[in-house]
Amino acid sequence: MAPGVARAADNSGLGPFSVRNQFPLSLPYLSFLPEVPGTLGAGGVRAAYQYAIANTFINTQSPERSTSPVIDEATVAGGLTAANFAAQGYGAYLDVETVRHQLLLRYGLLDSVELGLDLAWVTFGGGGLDSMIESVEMSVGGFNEDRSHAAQDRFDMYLARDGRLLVDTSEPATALPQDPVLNLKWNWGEGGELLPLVTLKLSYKVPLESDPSRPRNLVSSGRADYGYALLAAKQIGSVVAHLQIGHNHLDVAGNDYNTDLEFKLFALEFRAAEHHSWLLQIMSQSSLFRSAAFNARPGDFLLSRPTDALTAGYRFQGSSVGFDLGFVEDLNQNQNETDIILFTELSWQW
Amino acid sequence: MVIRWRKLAWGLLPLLLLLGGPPPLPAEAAETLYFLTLKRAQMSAEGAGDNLLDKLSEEHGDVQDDRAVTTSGVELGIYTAASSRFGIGVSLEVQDYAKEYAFADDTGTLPPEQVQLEARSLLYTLNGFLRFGRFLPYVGLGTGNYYVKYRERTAGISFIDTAPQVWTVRAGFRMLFGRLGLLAEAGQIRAPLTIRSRSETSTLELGGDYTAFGISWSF
Repeated sequence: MAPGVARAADNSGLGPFSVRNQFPLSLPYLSFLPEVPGTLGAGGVRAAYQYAIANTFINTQSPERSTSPVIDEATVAGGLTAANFAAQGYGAYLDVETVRHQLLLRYGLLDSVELGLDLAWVTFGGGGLDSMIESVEMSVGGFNEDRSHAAQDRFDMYLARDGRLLVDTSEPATALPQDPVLNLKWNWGEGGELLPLVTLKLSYKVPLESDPSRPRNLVSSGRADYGYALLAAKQIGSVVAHLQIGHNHLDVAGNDYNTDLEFKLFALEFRAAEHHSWLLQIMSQSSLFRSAAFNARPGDFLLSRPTDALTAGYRFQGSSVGFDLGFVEDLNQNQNETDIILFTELSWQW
Repeated sequence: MVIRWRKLAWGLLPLLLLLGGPPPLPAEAAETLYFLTLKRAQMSAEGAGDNLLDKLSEEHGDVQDDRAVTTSGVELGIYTAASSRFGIGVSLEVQDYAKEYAFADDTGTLPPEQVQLEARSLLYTLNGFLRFGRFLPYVGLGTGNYYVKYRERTAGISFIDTAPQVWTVRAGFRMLFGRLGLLAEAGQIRAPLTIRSRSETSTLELGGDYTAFGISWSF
C-alpha cells in the first residue's frame, strides 16, 4: 500500500486528536498520546507540529472548602510554604498556564509497523486565559468559586504531601524540553466490514538526564517510563468509533505518585467528507496521585479520582497536509486535571 | 416494576405500528441509522467480589432492602449494514439510578445505618447485528465509567468517586416500525467500586445482571 493513500475499508478514519494529558504535575512523566490507529505503510513519513495552551487552577485549601489551613490571594502573595497545606495527604495550589510545542515524527518501517519519536517543549507562566475562562464559566453557571480567591494571570505551582513540598515554584520558565518518547505501532489487522482495526502501541520515555535540576524537573522525572496500548477502530457508516485502552508504568522517585496509570479513550469521528472529520473523544485515566489512607472527608478522594476530559474539534487530512483545531475540557472537577486546553496542529505526510 | 414495563411495551406495539409508518425497506436498513433510545432497566447491582454490604451487615445488622435497582437513561446508537446478513453498530449510553440501603439489627445491639447511592454510567458499546428486515437481534461488548455519590448517613461519611474498570456484555434486539422502534436487551455490567473510606478492602458492585427495554427514534 502506498503511503498516504486511503484504504478501501477505512476503519482507521482520520483518527483521534494526539493531545496528551497536560496537567502540570504529570508533565515529567510518560502520558498516553492518542493517535491514528492505522500505520503509514512501508516508507511513509509523517511529521506533525502541535501548539497547545493549557490553563489549570487548583486550590485544595480554598476558602470555599471546609479545609484548614486556608490559602487565599493574600496568602499566595506572601509566599507559600509547607505550613500552608494539611499535614497529611496531598495539598495543591496550582495557578498555571502552559504552552506546549509538540513535534511528532513517524516512519513506516513495514506496512504494519511504524516507528515514532515524540518531542515537546513546555513554557510555564501565568498566561492570559484566566479572565476568559472565568467569563465562560460564569456565563454557563459553572464558575469555579476557588478562582475568586486568586489574582488573575499569576504563576504559582505548589504541591505538598504529608507536610513537605514536592513542587514549589512561582518563577515562570520558558521552553523546557520534555524527555523524548519512542513509540512503536504494530498493526494487527485492518479489520473489515465486521471486524475492527486493531493496533498495538508501545511507548518508552527516555530521560535526557538522570537528575534534572530546576526548572527542568518540572517536565522531566529523570527516569524511564514505559507503556502499552491497544488501539481499535471501526467504521460504521460515516462514523468511525475509536477505543484506545492501555497502561503506563512510571518510575517515580520517593513513592510520591502512583506508578501504574490506566487510561481509556473513546471517540466518535464523524466523517464530514473524505478529508474532513469532526471528533468527540472522552479520555479517562487513573490519577497520578495515590489514594489517601483511610479518611472520610469528601475532599480526600478528589485528587486520587480518575480524570475525565472531553476533546472536541475538527480535523482535516489531505493527501499530504493535515490540520487540527480543538479543545479539551475536564468533565469533573477532581483537582487533578487541566481546566481547558486549546490546541492546533499542522502535519505533513509523504 | 419489570412486569408493568413489559406490559407497557407490548401495549405500545399497536400504537408504534400506527405512528411509525411502514416497516423499513431493505434499502433503508442498508443505510447508516442513528437510534436515539430511551431505556429503562432492572439491574441486580451485585456481582463477584462484592462484599461491602456484607461488611456493613456485620456492623449494623441485616440489610432491609432488595439489592436490585431500576435505571433509566438514554442511548445514542449508530448502526450500518455490513453485509446482507450482518450489521455493525456502536452506542454511547448514559444511565442513572439512586438507591438507599437501610441496615438494622433485630436485637438492637448494633447501630443502624443508611447507605445512599447515586450512580451514573457512561457506557460505550460495539454491537454486532443480524439483519432480519425490521428485526435486528444483536450482541454487544463495551466499556465505560461509573460515577457515584456515596453516603453513609449515620457515620457521616460522604464522597464522590469513579469506577473506571467497567466491562459490559449484552444481547438483545431492536424491532423497527418506521422511525420508531422497540428495544429489549439483557446483559451484564461489571463495575466494581472500591470504597476508599474503609480501612479494609471493600467493594461495591455498581452493575450486575440486567434486563432493559426501550423506545427508539431513528434518523
